[in-house]
Amino acid sequence: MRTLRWLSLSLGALAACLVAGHVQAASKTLLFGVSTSLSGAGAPTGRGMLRAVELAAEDINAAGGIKVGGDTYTLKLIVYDNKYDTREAVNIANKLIFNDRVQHMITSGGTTVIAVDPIVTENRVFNFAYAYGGKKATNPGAPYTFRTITEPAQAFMTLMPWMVKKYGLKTLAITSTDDETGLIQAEDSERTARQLGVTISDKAFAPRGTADFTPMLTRLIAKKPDAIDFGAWAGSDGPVICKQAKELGYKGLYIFSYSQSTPTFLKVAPDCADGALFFQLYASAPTPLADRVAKRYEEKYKETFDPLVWRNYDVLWVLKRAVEMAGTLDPTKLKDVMKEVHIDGVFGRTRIGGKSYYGIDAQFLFAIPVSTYSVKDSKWVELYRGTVPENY
Amino acid sequence: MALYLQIAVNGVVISCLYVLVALGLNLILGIMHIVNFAQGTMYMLAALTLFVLNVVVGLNYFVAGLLSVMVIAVLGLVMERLFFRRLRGQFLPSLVMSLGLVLVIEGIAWMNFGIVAQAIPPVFPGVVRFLGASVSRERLVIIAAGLILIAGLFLFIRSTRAGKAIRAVEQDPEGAVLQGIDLDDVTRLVFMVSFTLTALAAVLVAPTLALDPSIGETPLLKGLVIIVLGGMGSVTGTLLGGFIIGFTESIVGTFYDPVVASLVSALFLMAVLIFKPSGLLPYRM
Repeated sequence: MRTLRWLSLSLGALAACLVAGHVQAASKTLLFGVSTSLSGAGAPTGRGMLRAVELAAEDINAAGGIKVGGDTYTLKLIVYDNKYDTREAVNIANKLIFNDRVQHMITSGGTTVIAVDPIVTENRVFNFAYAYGGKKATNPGAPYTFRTITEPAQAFMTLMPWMVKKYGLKTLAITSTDDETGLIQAEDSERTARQLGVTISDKAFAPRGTADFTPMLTRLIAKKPDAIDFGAWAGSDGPVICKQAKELGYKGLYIFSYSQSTPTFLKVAPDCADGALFFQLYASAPTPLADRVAKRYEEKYKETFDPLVWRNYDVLWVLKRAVEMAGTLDPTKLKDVMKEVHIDGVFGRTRIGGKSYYGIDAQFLFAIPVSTYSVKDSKWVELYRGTVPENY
Repeated sequence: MALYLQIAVNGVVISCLYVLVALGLNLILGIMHIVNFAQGTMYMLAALTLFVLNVVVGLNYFVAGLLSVMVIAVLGLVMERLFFRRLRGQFLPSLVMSLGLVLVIEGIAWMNFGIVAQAIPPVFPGVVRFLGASVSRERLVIIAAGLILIAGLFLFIRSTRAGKAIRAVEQDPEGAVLQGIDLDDVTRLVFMVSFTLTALAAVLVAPTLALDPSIGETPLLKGLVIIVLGGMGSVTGTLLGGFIIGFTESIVGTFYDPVVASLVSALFLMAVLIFKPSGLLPYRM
């Protein structure tokens, strides 16, 4: 009887140790916050971002997680829909930082990133920004914010000289959203065009989700520009504005300098994509890794691959590299090693730079393509690929 | 010259779209004194039903469009019987009921249709150019069909027995009942006609849009502005209000921008509310 009691106690103690061990292992989960637009006009791009991060988290966890000292961390995502709304994004940032206790997160949307910058800076939380927003989002006063996508400034600087020469552009009209993202996009486009001697024939701005663009386009088209840059119109707005410009008989060059969701674009306005220029659009997988990601996407989500997904696949790998270089999860130390980080990502070599423009190295940099769609061949065709200078 | 012609064409297209939705809203408001926020949702539902029947099932656009309109018309009858009949004349409860329906139906639509916008292939592809102006064939069809529908509604309201019953109930419900008009029949008819108009508008416009469950929001908002501007319960007022808003958006949107156009529309609305609160052409069914 006594032996039986000891046996029971020993088994109990063993079970307790196993449970404690399990709890200890569970505590080595690295929570990563995701604040993205999953509803409304920004949903197609927001969802692409979420899926990229999901795939990367799965791959990193499958490859052994993130190692810090003797500990291994498994990534777990905490996802919220910010609806591309600044108030919602601020609420979510507070929720992630104070309720969920995350130290590392990603936010989509230029205006939303700018809105959460003070919160992440004050609380020293690492925030990857799937956003434009220029120097307002990326500056020395926001040392914890790192932009994952190529900004218009880099894209225009790299692609516009080629475009002006190839198409002989002399006049350019610009239309964009009337929010922070759209205005910065238009400013960058205008500045680069003027530097190259191109005249800006007219500009027009409207809120996201505008149903009828024809009045605004009527004025732009009446000035007969060689090209129209459709600024930050994206999601379902991008193909709709393109379709309406075609209906109004515009025959010049259509430029989509903002990231477009190609599945949405081809569903809504396939004819419109034909011959139009799409910045940062890869016609085919730029690397074998990108090809693997695309195949995994289609297997997992049972949908046609959205190339926007590539944009954020590298984010968690950059975080992993930074954490392993710094030997800590502490954002205050991580930010100091970011400028040294470079990985062989989905676009090839990806590094963090941008100090000459933003005053801080906080911009992901990689090769930038421009592509078009051929309706005849039913495929995207890459026209040119440029690289941002090393000293940028 | 071409620019002004283009502005006029844009104005007529925008006006026709707004008027069709606003007429449906106004009929229900005039007869049942219900602000039906679910009207925008019905617009969305008609467009998505058309998408399913035309693109997913593969039916011809016209057959799919007809079926979509029929589905929404029947839905109008069901909603009237289940949700709105008992709330007739009760402004606040019916408002809350319609908002609840919006949340439920839109939620279901988001879950089922996802967040990637869908599209219906062009039915009337191509562009027509005249005197330097350019308009797509799709938009020309919208103008023609819109004007025919508006004229048809006028004739129905003014010349048919059912239309006269609607007018009678709108002017004096108690008097109409004393003359032997069945109030339930009239409200049922109004819901059906109203939802049919909204569905027709959606079926006409759907091939020009990127379809997602939020597409009904703008027509609903504009429809409400038009009703207040033109006069609650007034068909001619709705027509006038629709054309004022449509042309304001076209003219101001062209020479300034869409935000200034909305601002000017709001100023019109405020002026009407201050100086003629019953609307520009009230109670002229």
